Amino acid sequence: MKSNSAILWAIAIVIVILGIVYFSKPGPEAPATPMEGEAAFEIPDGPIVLGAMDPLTGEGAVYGIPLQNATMLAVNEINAAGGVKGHQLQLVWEDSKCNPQDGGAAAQKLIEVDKVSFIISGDCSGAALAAATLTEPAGVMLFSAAASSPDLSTAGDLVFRSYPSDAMAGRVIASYVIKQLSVKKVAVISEQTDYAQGLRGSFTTASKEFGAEVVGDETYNTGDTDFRTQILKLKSVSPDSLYVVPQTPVTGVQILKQLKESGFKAVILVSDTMLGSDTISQNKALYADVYSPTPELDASRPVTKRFLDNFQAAYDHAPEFPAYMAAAYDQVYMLKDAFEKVGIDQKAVRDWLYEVENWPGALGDTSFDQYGDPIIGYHIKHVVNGEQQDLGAYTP
Amino acid sequence: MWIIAQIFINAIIAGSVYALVASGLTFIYATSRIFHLAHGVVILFGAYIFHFVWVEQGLSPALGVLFSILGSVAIGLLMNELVYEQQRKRHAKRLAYLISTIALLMLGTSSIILIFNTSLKSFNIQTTVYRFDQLNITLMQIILIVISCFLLLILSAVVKYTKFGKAMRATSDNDEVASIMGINTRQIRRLSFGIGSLLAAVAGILIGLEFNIDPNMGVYLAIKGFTAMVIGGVGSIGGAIFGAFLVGFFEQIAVWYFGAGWKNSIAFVLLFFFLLLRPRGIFGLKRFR
Repeated sequence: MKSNSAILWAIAIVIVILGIVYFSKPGPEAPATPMEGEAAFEIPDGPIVLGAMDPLTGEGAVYGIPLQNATMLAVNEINAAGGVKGHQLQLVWEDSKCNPQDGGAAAQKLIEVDKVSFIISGDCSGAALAAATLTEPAGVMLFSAAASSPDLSTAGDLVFRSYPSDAMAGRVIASYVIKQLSVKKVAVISEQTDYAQGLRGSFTTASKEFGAEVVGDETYNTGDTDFRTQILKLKSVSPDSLYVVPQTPVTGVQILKQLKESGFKAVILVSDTMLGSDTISQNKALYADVYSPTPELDASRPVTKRFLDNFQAAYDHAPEFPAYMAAAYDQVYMLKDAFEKVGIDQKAVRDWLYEVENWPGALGDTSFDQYGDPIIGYHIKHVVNGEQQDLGAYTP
Repeated sequence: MWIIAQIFINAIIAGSVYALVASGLTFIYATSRIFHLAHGVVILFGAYIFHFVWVEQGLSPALGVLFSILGSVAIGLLMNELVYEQQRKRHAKRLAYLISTIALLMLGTSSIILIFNTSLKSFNIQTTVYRFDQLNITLMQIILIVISCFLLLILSAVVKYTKFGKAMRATSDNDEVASIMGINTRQIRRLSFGIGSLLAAVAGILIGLEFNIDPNMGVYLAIKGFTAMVIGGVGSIGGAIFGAFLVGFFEQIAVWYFGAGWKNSIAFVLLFFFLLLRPRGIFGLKRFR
């Protein structure tokens, strides 16, 4: 009897504590921003703290660190010029390691421990998709500069990106190789990650639509280093063109090497993850003759020129992944403009972003479609013996 | 036809690496009766040290090989002295060894990540490609196969013809009787860990040069080496080598017919069937328990 009442007491206490915790939590709705007028909102005193996640270690660091540098360049510029209406921007960095597990953990930490309302990320698609499953229910805005998987379009209402979706990239390169280079049989080799599978999907669908035959479709696991059997299989179906879609350039270079060793003959296409200037200059012989779709920076635009010049001045070298990095630079300025216009309420910022038209960014004039994806055109890059050539804008 | 021949060549390349791993494991198992799965990280340390000395420090590759061998042997010996011998002193059961070797494997992988970080390391060397009609093989691959065969031959000769080999086989048969007969079994175990780890360093260097290295490879190498050892017949070096080529061959077949997702699981499938149908392996002795 005695132990029974003890249990009842314990349960009652637990319920009371849970109740207190539940009701003491602030409601999910932040105080509504008053409509109309510039001074209708107030930014609380002190710095504006934003969450930031990039792959800072591991293979993804090849672009994670450059993206972090581009983001910090924008943040430092804004802070040096007086911040956002007098408030300094402050970033809390987390390492997403370019995989869903660590991406989810990074987002969770930023949401629950640092209590941020905005997360900017220069992340791999897998990490960003995992983060989106946490940010969306928490009412946190996720703004990505590099995650390009088509799946991110529908990942949530508060999910935006400043880099275009791969739904377009796969289509652009398929159209180019089939219509301009008169290729009939295409093949693809892709890594088993969200990013690579997204591109693989848009490329194969578009290839069939443009009348080519997809004769080979091989995949490999992250961490694999031996691709000989896949290459052998691709060789046996003799495609006219092969699209190489790795998550990171290190693996991509290994594939190019083994393709070369096997005497593989076809038009080689690569994804934009392989366009790092360092990677290309270190492997000139492997980048003998490859094509890739990428948004191209137009240095004649004042914003773009400012980004390129300031980056060179700050880091003493040109941006390694210009398109991704311009997107990372843009996203900080875009948020700054939004904060100055509508305050730091996520929903107000979302509405502002949907409404912007031809916002002048380093990557190009940016408008968002209904999914929060920017509408930006692609160029075709042709790399010949390590030299990058721009073949101009291309629309399928 | 050329496709089958090329698959065969690819299988031999992978197989000769696995053979080095499996024979190192067998060598260690023979004297200590431990399935030394942490051998996987000893291999990785060899590869990482080689990469560090040659690529990151820019020293000569010969120095890289030297440091790599010294490092791996030191790590192998330390594992034996600090963990296995301590357990042996306390008359540990076999299961205890198995648990501690798995712990060492995980500890080793984490240490590699801490010291060398998670990124894939590449040597980025390209050697001449020899083509015979549609078939091709690179100079690096030929070197890999030759070195591995050469080492394995030496190893078999050592076991068969030297006094140490005799003492080793005696220890392997029955270590109590061997020590009564005046064989210092502890010393023999040390030697076999040393030689096994030396093979590991060579395997690591070759794997690095041919396939690149990443910190999670240790686990897969240990599993593939272990599978090769069980398939061939535990305790038989010839068996381990045969088993290694079988694993290499089935891996390539798996990728060809079922896709790359099956590549790493095929070792488990093989292991399962052998444990079920022929637990003592192809060349295994009947008296092996």
